[in-house]
Amino acid sequence: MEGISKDKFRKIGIDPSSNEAMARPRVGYWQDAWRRLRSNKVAMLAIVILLTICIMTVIGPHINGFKYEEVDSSKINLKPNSEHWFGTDELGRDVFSRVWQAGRTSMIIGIVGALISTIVGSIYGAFAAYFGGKVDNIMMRIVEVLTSIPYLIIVIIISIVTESRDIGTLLLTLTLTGWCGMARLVRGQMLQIKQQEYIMAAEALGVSPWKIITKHLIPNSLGIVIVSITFDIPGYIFAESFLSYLGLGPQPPATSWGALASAAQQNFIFYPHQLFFPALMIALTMLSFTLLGDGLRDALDPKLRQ
Amino acid sequence: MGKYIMKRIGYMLLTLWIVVTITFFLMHSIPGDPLAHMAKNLPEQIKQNYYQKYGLDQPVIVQYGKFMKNLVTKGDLGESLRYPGRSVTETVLTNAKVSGRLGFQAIAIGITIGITLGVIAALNRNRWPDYLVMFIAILGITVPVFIIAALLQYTLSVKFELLPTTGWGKFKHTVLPTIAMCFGSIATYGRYMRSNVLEVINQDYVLTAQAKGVSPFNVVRKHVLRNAILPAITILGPQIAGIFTGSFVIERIFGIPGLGSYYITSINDRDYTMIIGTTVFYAALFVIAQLLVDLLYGVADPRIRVSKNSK
Amino acid sequence: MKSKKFLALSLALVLILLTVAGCGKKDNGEVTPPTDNNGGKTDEAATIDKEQYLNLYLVAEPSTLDSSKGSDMYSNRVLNNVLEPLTRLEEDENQNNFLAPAGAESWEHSEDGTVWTFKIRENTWSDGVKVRAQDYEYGIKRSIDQDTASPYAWILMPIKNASKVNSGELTVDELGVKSLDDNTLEITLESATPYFEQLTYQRVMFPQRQDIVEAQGDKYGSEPDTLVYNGPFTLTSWVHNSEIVLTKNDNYWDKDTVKLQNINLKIISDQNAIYNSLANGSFDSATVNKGEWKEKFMKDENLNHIEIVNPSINFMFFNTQDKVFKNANIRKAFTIALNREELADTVFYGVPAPAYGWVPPSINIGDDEYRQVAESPIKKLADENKDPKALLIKGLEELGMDTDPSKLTVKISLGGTDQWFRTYGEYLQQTYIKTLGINFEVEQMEWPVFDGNVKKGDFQIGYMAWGADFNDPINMLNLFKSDAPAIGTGWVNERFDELITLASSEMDSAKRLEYFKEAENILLYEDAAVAPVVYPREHVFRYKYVHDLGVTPFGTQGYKYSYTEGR
Repeated sequence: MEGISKDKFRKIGIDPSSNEAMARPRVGYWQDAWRRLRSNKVAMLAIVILLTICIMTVIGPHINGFKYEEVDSSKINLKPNSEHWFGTDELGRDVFSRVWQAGRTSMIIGIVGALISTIVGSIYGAFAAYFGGKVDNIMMRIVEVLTSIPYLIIVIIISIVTESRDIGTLLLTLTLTGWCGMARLVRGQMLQIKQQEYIMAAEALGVSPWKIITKHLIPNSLGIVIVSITFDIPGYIFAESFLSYLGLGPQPPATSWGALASAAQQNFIFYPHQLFFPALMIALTMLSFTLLGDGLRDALDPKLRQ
Repeated sequence: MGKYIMKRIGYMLLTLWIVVTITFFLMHSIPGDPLAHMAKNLPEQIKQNYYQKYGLDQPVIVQYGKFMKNLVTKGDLGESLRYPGRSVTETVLTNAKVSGRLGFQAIAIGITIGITLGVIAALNRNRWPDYLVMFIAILGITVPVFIIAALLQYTLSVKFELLPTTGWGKFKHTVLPTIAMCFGSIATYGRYMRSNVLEVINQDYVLTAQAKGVSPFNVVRKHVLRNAILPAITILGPQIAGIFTGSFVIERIFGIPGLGSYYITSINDRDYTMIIGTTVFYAALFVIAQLLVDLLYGVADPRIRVSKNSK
Repeated sequence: MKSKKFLALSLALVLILLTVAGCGKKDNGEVTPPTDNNGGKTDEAATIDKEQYLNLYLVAEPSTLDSSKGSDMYSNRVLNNVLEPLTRLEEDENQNNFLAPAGAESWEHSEDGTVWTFKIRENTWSDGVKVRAQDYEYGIKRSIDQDTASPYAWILMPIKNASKVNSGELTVDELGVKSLDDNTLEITLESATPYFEQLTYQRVMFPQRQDIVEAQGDKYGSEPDTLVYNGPFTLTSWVHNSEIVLTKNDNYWDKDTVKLQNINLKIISDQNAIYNSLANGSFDSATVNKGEWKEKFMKDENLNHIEIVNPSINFMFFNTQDKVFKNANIRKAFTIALNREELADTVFYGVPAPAYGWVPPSINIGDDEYRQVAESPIKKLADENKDPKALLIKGLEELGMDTDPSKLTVKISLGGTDQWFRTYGEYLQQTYIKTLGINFEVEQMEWPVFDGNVKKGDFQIGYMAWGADFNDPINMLNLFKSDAPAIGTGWVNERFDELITLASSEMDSAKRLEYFKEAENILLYEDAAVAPVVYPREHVFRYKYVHDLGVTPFGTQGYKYSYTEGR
């Protein structure tokens, strides 16, 4: 220590202005979530798969030169080969092009449907749970009524009123009552969170109900909502396939994974490939959304923040 | 508590009335009538006779009045229009019993396996048992049920001839449909349980219990399970109703005389009385299930019970 | 036994070749009766199986066994086996239908064909009461009675005063049906009706016991114990939507002929489940209408194959009031632009048959099958006009419209939501886009919605199916009569109306044939108001131990003569 001369040191004093300065750049909630999501390899793989499927639904129908709706009676029910990569169907249409074209319908219905029902359902459920009492009672009775009215009647009425059966109409029919499940789920979750001390504290501090709902209740139930979205997307894809099974799906030549699968199911013993490819797409999509959902759940959960 | 339940029952009746009313007017507003399923253009006189006999020639509001009067004074839902001579009430109850048996088996298996898988996955988070278990759980719902049912039927009853293809009456008839139906519950409960257990496991009271030396089994049973199961009860509500209303696809493929097919066919046939009958049944089950769920909440989560009593 | 299997197989093959070649003489795929099995004539009773039963199925739940109500083919199937109609349409070994006495021993009609007298056979109801002519009388009267509101009563309108009784103008007592004594039933007709015999085996003419009907009230026919039986079998169990069990009726007059003890009818609508059940032996016989399954079962040497053309037709019809389709040449263009052979044979594996006429095969006129003796108007139309696009352009010119087909958009409405309709629609769409170069839209809807739109005239082309109710060409052709248009084309043709009126009261089948031929020609060739597409065909597969089970679509012999041998 003796050898160190004093003049090597210098007084710099305290700079009051830098007291609050951040040593590292501030990491926001969403940035942090993204950082954690990125480190989750499984979730990233799911994102890659989903992006690939999405891109393929855009360019897929044009890759191999066969139009998805074009029939060719000389090439019926072919097995996958070098010309028709996924084989052909009962009218000689190229399954490869059809699968991607169908994916367009299914993905739009799945994602948009789930988003609409999540947004509507979460807000509705959160309000009902937060206000409780009479408001909750009335709001939940409305949900019960909506859920109880026979769904098929609504489908028929909407298709008559709108005189069409395009994606928009299908989405409308599917979401009209589809958000009710989410509303109930969110309400249940919120009833639990509502009792937590930090809500009481916020209330005591005079935070407005809207803020409490959006800043505390919704973020804290995000985990369960996100898991539910990953169920909702395939749920919509399946609901659409059930409508197709009943013959109330999209109008020809439009098609969907559900429509392809329910058509192929009749003949799956003979032409497994016609069932395999749409089913694989549904399965891959679902699997990816589920894994992504798990990843997101971990990433977004405020309690798991480091 | 008694007063609370009485109030809820009052609301339930109100809900049912609204559902019946809306459905009644909606179903009469869609094109077609009970004769339409014959797909023939019948002579005018034949149609007139038919409408007159079943009161369909009167304005909808008059029909509604008559229907409500019968329902309220006699508890009578009327006679099926598609199946002359059969009482709607009896048909619904008989078929619901069949659906109920099947649905109960499926959901009991689904919940047991689903919850077990979910807990196992959560406790082994991000290790291979987690991935394996979740993969199994997800697999069941990645494929539409009509495909699973058809595959099961083809392999187990046609290829290996282990079980009957179709029919109803004996336990063996219920095996294939039960398997086909329980996949959905396994996946749903498995996923929710995993998510909930993960949430609960980081709570202070779990840590406290562990610190106090409670055995891992008891930590899971007494602290984790009880708190994690709550959101699962929310999804149980609508499923209880679903148990008795059956599944259209499963019943169709396995030839099961359940209620599920009536929800579709009665509308296709414009069997008005049956549409209302099945709707009332579903709605009643649904609101009762909701009430049960709300009551169960109290049992599962003491905090909610306390707050309710204090209000 | 091996040689027999071979024989059956080759017969089946011959049968298919014959039908494909359009040579109509139908053959039976089944083995000849077991007569020379052991080198000599064997006693039938000694070789047939000890336990006589069949496992079959119905595609849907029968609506009711009240023969005056309901009209579905599933309850008809059961009713034919548990009640004894006046007559039965039975079939010989070549699957030709013939009218056989059943509840009536014999019958005759007055010279002008308006008064029919039936001699009722000695028979006993399942509760021991004698069957009387009054039971038949009551059954018919109840069906026509306004208060019953039978949806199928219209078929009995040829009976005197039937229409007035049905509208409530006259009482049932004034209906032209009366029992002269316990064994004689007399039916008076409004005017001579050549096809009246074909009505005597319809459900609305089945016998009913007044005392039972009145005691049961609305419940009559809804459960096995709400009615009594006088047919070859009785209904012993009916689990709704699941299973029906028929058991031999020991009170039946011809009980010695009836060999089956039990028939189990499963109610199952899923096609794959039916095929699976046939494949693993749960069903003894099944109707197959999917090409791939047909091929698979053809290879199974335990199964016999019988091909059946249904008396029904899938067709397109044009809205002749539409601004485009009011032109006959445009309608013709759409009619001939279709390659029906490709559609039926290639796309649908030869399951349906291409349709070139309106009246479907298996409908007879006199003793001949109508299609065999009439020409094919659509073929004629197609032969004379090779280029459908030219016809379309000609039509557009006549209408003063833009003659560029690519500027024309046409919409077809499909009257059904099942997969078949969808596939047909998709095929039609692509075909018309290719052959006519137009824009073609497909709209698939629920039947009642479709029906409503057609009635309002809110459509351009409709696509639907129609099945005949009884075995006479008039049943198909009078659908287009202008006073009772059943198919909403808006098409009116005086000569056509005149021909149908003539044919409805003419007793000579040769003359009727000429009327029908001309009428069909106007409908399809001259005016092209409707475009037949295919005749649905069914392929019945049954295990070789099953014998003498009725297969023809109109036939009503049911399970009466059937037995199993070598199960």
